[in-house]
Amino acid sequence: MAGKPAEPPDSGHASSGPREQDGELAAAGEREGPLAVERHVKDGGRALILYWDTRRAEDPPRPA
Amino acid sequence: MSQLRFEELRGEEVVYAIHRQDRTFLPARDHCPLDPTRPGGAQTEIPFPAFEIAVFDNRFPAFESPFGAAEVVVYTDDHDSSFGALAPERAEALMWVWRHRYIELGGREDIDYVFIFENRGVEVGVTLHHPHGQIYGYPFLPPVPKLELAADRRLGGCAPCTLLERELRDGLRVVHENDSVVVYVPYAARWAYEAHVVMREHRASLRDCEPRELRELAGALQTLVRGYDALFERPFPYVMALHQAPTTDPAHAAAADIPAGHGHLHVEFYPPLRTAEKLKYLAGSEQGAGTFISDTLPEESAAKLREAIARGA
Repeated sequence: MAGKPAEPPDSGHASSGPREQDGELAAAGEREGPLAVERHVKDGGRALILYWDTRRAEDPPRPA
Repeated sequence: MSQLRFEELRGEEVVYAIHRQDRTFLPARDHCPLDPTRPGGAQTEIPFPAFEIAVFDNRFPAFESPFGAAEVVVYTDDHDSSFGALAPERAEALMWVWRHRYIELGGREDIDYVFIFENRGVEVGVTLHHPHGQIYGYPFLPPVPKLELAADRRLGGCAPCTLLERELRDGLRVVHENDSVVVYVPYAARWAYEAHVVMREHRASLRDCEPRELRELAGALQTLVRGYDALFERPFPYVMALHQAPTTDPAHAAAADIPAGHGHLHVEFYPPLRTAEKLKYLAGSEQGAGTFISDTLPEESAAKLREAIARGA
């Protein structure tokens, strides 16, 4: 098993800030290439990450 | 929490994840946990009424922090779609999602190998029909990447680079190519319609790919999968496996004799069908001796697959 430092993000991969609980949006502005990245924490502490293509829309695909 | 035991006779790890015995198994269409959560409906794994691509920690993980990771990658909120049926832009977006997960999981100190894969069809053990793949972050270097490392040593350099050059020179088994990617049935395919999707340039991982290469990788993968579906005019089951560079930290890699830059991004498909109705089973020779006995020649399979790709285009 390895012991290693986390690799720094490269130009196409912007790291997120800290997560919040209860499904709240955790980090604004995170990107991976053309994708927006939105992090959530589900009940029980499991991570959920939503991605959407910012070439299609700047906002996530959520009906009003 | 899973338990690892080392099987001395084969020299490999076995993972005991007994909590997975109770995982969701082929739920009814209206109880799919990978669907979006509809207004007034039961909450699913994705508590939003719509989404493009979602990744979440597996509820029944084979690996979990601080000894690895197990994630589910949901390609679309359309339950009845498939990887091959995604819009090209969505398939391209999926390449970026895979890249994001490779970089983030590979940066963790408890993960030595990031393995992205899809099991498609009940023939390969799918338990949820909603289009999705998975990612395992192994806390050790698994046997197949180790074999590829050994192939590099045997061939005196990058094995996928060498094999790609041979396949292009021979040409008999190439079924599709674009500027960035070549798809072929390998010379010594183990499965009747096994195919390898290989980056033309030496790219250790998705991290090293140019945006154009990611787009063309997505295009080649979709072309192959649509060809598979056209082959027997039915949804074609497969295991899709991405092979990339290990993410072992440099100090540990040196101790394990893993050369820097080892790895060449390629995607291997293992389809179990040998005809429209017949499955290849892993039986005595395959399981007991480790030697595949195939009923088909790769060159003949490649010719049929080329025709199917033309029909599926």
